[in-house]
Amino acid sequence: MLRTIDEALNYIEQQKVERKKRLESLNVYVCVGTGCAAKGSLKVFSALKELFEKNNINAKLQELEEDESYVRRTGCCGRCSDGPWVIVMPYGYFYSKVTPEDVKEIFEETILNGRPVERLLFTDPATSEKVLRLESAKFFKAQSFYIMEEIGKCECDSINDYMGRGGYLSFLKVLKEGNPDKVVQMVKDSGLRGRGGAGFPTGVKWEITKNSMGDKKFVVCNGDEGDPGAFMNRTLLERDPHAVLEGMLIAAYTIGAQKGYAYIRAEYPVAVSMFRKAIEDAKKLGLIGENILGTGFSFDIEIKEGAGAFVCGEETALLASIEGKRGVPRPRPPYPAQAGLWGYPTLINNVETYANVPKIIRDGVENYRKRGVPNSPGTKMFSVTGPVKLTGIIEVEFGTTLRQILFDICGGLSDGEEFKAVQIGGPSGACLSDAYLDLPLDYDSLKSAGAMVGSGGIVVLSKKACMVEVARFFLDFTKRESCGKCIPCREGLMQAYRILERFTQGKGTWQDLENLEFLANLIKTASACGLGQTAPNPILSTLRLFRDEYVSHIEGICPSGMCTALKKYVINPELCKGCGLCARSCPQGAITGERGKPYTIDQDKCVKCGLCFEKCKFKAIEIR
Amino acid sequence: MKIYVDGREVIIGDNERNLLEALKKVGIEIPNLCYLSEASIYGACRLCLVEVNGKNIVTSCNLKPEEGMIIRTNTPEIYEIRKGILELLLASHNRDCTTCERNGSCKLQEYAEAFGIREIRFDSVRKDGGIDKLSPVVRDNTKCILCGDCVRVCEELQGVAAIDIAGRGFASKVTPAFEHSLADVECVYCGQCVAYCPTGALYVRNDIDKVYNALKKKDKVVIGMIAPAVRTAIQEEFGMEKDLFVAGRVSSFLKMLGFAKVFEVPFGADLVAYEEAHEFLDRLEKGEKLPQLTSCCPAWVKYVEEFFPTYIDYLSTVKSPQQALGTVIKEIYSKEIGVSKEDIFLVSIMPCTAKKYEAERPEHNGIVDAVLTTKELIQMIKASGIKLSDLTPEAFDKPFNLYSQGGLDFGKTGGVLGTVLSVINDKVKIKEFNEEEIEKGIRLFNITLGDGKKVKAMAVFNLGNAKKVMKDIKEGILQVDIIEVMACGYGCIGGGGQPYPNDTAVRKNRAKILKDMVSINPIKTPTENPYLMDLYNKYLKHPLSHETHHLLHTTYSPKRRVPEEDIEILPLPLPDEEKIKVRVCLGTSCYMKGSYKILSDLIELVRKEDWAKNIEVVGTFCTENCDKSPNVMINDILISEANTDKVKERLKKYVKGE
Amino acid sequence: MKLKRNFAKVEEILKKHEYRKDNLIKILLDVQKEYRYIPEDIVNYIGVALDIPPAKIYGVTTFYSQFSLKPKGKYTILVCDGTACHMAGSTPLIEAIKQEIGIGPGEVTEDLLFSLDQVGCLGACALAPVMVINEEVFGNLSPEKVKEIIRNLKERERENA
Repeated sequence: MLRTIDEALNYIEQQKVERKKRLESLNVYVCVGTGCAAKGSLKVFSALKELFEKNNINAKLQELEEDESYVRRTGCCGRCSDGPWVIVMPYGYFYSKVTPEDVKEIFEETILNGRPVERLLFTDPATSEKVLRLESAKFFKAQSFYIMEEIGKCECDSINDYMGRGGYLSFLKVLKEGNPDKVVQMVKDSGLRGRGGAGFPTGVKWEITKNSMGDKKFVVCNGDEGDPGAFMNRTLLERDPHAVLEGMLIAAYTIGAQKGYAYIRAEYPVAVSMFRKAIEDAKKLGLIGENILGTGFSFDIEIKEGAGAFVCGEETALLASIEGKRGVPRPRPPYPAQAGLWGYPTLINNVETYANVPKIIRDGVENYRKRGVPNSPGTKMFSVTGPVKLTGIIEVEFGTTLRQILFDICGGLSDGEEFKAVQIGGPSGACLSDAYLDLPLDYDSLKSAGAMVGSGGIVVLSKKACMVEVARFFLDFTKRESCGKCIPCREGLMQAYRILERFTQGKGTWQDLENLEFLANLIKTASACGLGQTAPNPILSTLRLFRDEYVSHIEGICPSGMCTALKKYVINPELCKGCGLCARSCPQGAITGERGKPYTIDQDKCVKCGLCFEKCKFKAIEIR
Repeated sequence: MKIYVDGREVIIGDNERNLLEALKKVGIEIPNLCYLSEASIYGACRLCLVEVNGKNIVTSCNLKPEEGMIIRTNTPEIYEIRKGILELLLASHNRDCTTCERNGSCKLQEYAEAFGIREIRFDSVRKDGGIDKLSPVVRDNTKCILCGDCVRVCEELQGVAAIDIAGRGFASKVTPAFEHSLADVECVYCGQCVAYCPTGALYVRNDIDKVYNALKKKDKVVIGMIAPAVRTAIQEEFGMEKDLFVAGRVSSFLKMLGFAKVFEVPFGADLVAYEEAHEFLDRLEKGEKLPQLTSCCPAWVKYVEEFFPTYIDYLSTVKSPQQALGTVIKEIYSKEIGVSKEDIFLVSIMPCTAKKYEAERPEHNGIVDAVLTTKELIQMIKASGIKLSDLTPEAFDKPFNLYSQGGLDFGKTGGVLGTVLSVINDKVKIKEFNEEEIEKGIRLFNITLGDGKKVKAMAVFNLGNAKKVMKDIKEGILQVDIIEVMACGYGCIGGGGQPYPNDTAVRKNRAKILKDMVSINPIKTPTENPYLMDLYNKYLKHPLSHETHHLLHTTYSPKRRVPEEDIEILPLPLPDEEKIKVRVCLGTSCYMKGSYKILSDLIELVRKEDWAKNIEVVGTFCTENCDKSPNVMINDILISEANTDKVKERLKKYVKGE
Repeated sequence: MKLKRNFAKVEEILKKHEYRKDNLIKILLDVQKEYRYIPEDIVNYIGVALDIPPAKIYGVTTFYSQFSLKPKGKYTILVCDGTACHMAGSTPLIEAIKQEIGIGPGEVTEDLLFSLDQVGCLGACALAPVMVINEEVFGNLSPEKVKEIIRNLKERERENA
């Protein structure tokens, strides 16, 4: 238990030394993030631990604390599909796709003898060569790791490791200087913008909350990341929970809050348990509690779990949820910074936003602003999914272009796929066509392109994707997640969805198109909260950039071939031998003809089951 | 402050709640379907959008006006948005207006007409409906627009929260817990939800047919009686706003319809106030059962029975004016006119929804045969084709046609209390009297009686306010001797059966009309009411007499709040004769007094002791004996104010066959 | 199907969350975990213990997807239908499950062993398509793999019976 700031500073210096030693000694790091865990990394972890316990090793081992082991838990490196990841120090070898069966070889070759296990090394798709360390891979070098630090070597469940990386020094600095106004100014000058989606200047929010009157104040962390395809917050909470916690502590001290809530989705149990451990460890050391380090600042924090409602990512809905109520957004004004939880001033920031704060304090405004672009300083974690060679989590400076992300980092489209568009910003975001590949990704540029950074989810769409279906898919999501309070969103999204569904079934009309556009604009302008206001974005952006696809659907054709209902099975008379096999296979009796002459499919009866296509030995049936 | 609205300069108040209210006060109505000045701001309908300073389009219901603001309330864009919103609503709405209870008074219908909506661009997708007709308040979710007004009123104004919105998105619906009927939950039928509902999703059960059926029968003597508040509102429907004699015209109408007699409920009010004043003086002297709680409001009575069962004994045992007068008519008057009471069909015309419930309560069943609300009366008049304003006012029938100012004043908040005090003044004199408004809906009166005794009285409207007061009394923070509670805002004039609109502004107006009517009444207090004194002289003898108790006093009982079967806790697969069923009550009062401990002790007992092996333990949510909690039942035997030892003792005896 | 009840567990849960009204969601999550659904009598009990009107609690349980008012299976299968999973093919997985145990989204098998729900993004997009059974995440699935996983579970149940 640390009692004073100086004691804490000394402790941290100690940890720095310890950590340096650790990295120079024999230690194995196993990724236990959700992605790797789903592939069995926990079994790999146990197998390794067992081996260490059973065998005596003579080389380079350091003293262990109670509960400490040479097999340590680390968090996501961003390459989930290549997990489970195992990193062996002091060599720094990164092993990918490790199974419990591989553990013996790793132990014998690397741990006992310092030799890398070739077959387990990661193959850099850019060079098709194996790399010893992830840092050598092109996609890694092309990124700007800042918030995601010490890839492969940070322990997600250890406060000592976090301190060893210099963690909590920023908090101590802020406490020591005792000048909250200075902190607010720093955050303002840094240009940090909310990483949850809206990109509101964080410093301004802090200032308003600090200046609001109230007997109590709260800080809240928004960990309700609900965008399908986005898992940056989960990654951050799992791999480096203390970074977020430190940000919250600095915020609390600065605005004068005594209580904090971390709202984390129930669907992220690992994130919840990592954060819970982080809080416990911080409490034990005396960084959370009454009269922290003798400064007179008291702060307590608890975790509140979400229960499955995307709308709870909206600030006021999140507050309602913390209060134990239905997650229905509240009219703004008043804003949470003025009247939030139970009417008290409340600061709500995203997980990633908080994680940026200790860095700003540590590096200073000037250095922080060296990354990114003037209107959006710093870096952003993005998740990239879809038919690209390397999917997962990446971190880049603002201002990086889509082209750089997709081709330099993610290795380009997968074989056999051609780029069509990206969906950026989740269901609240927009689709961008190839005309935007060189658009720098930052808050303002995206806004003027009719899109938004959002939480940072990027979904790549290939030519096989039907943009109308994409819009329908997102509407299905948002309409299901609508809280139901306001008419434009509750009724409008349902009606817009019906129209889109008709389109994908080939029943869309010109009137439908007109109504769809009207609805999209109505919902965007008149909805009560961010969910409704942004839900039409997929519609509006696809209408703007891919209108021709909508028109094709009216004419009964789905250009990408994705919409089943619009698929047309047609018999090519030049290839058809008239054997009649297809007619006999057809469950609907839609195929007719005479033996020896080309058969025909009655389009009205055809249900597109595809059986005839499968059966035909002469490949005479075409799908159009 | 000065702002600009649609290009014109407008002066509004300096401290208005929001722009919508500010403009309403100066006669500019911005369309809206979900705003209530009486409750919290919800922001669901989005109709009230305005353009601010040429830039943003925001809702005016939560926009704070600022000096010099430039507002446009009706740009073409806003018009299109409003039209789109209305079409969206109508697309999933039950549009059978012709057979709807709100045909002609529905706000959605009004806007549909104002916006000239002739075509709906969107698919008709019906909401999951179902009608709940089991209580006097009827719910029809096919007509609900989810404005949330009913929910906010029930929770914020009335402190009951019997309904809330369940589900999410398009599947949202307003419903009691687990979609039970209102008749089975803690609803007190105050009808305020009905008063504020903009459409036909909530309405009062229509009983007109009962009256017409009675009128058809040659052998039935149909007698009507009209409440004070009815005559303050019925004018609104017929353009007779300044008419102070509309009651007489209604009496005339009813006679034309075939009613044999029409009486005045204010007479009953006089009777009730007279009795209650004596009851109060009696309690004051004995120093018991104070504060006395008035009992004329049936929603308030049910509220006490549901939520404050330990205060049931404090309710005045005097019946309400409807029931008191009804009893006098059926038991005394019937004999005077030589008609058997079974042949009398008594119709009570009330501003109130809960009166329908009151008339059907087991304690009062058979006295009042039908309760019609002001709205139903209006329907009858309109259906007849008779022009109410052309009718000559007719005097009501003797002997129940004279009443005091106080009796008429029962129709608004403070009326009951005032009348009771006037009787007390007649009896023992009131030396000093001053009034203090604690907050809107709660008034405190400091009174000094003739003998120097100090009395504190309160007049409360809205059950939410009553809850606050009762909580303070429970905790000993507040000391009062008598409390008048009216469930509806501003009293009965705001009842759920009154015509639309039924908001605060209209109620204040009705209060004024009532005040005017009261002031021209020649009889000041019930003591001066000659027919009332006759009644006492001839039949009732004196207040609190044996006769009066028999006819005019009643009892109350705790009511359970949830419809719940017994919960199996330690079930036994034995036939009923071989097992002893012990029911432990887990309702609020019992739980708060520790029934859970009794339950767990009992379970221990059954598991450990051999003699207890035939005991089946069951949980229940209310034995309706809340004032003597905790309650445990051993088969049919009730053990109240129970504790583990008491229960164990009794069980041992029972097992032995005692 | 009414599971036997003595509210001892509910009292434990209430105590754990300090009988605080704002902990209602956490309390309901624990109830859901313990009983596999939110029974009406427990809602009424919580209403009494925390002084919250049952209608409000009902509103909360029906708002959040995690809560079920009908019993869930011993193994709750969640098939992710987030963007990445949808594009990677979550629909064939649903089909496969239907073929294997005969239920569709929102349904429970008769023996209450399995229940199936289609949910929004679970945050494991790099492993699309994804399925979660009782908090265990299965990624990179195909219809065959799904059937195998379920068959293994059925086998495990048979052995334990």
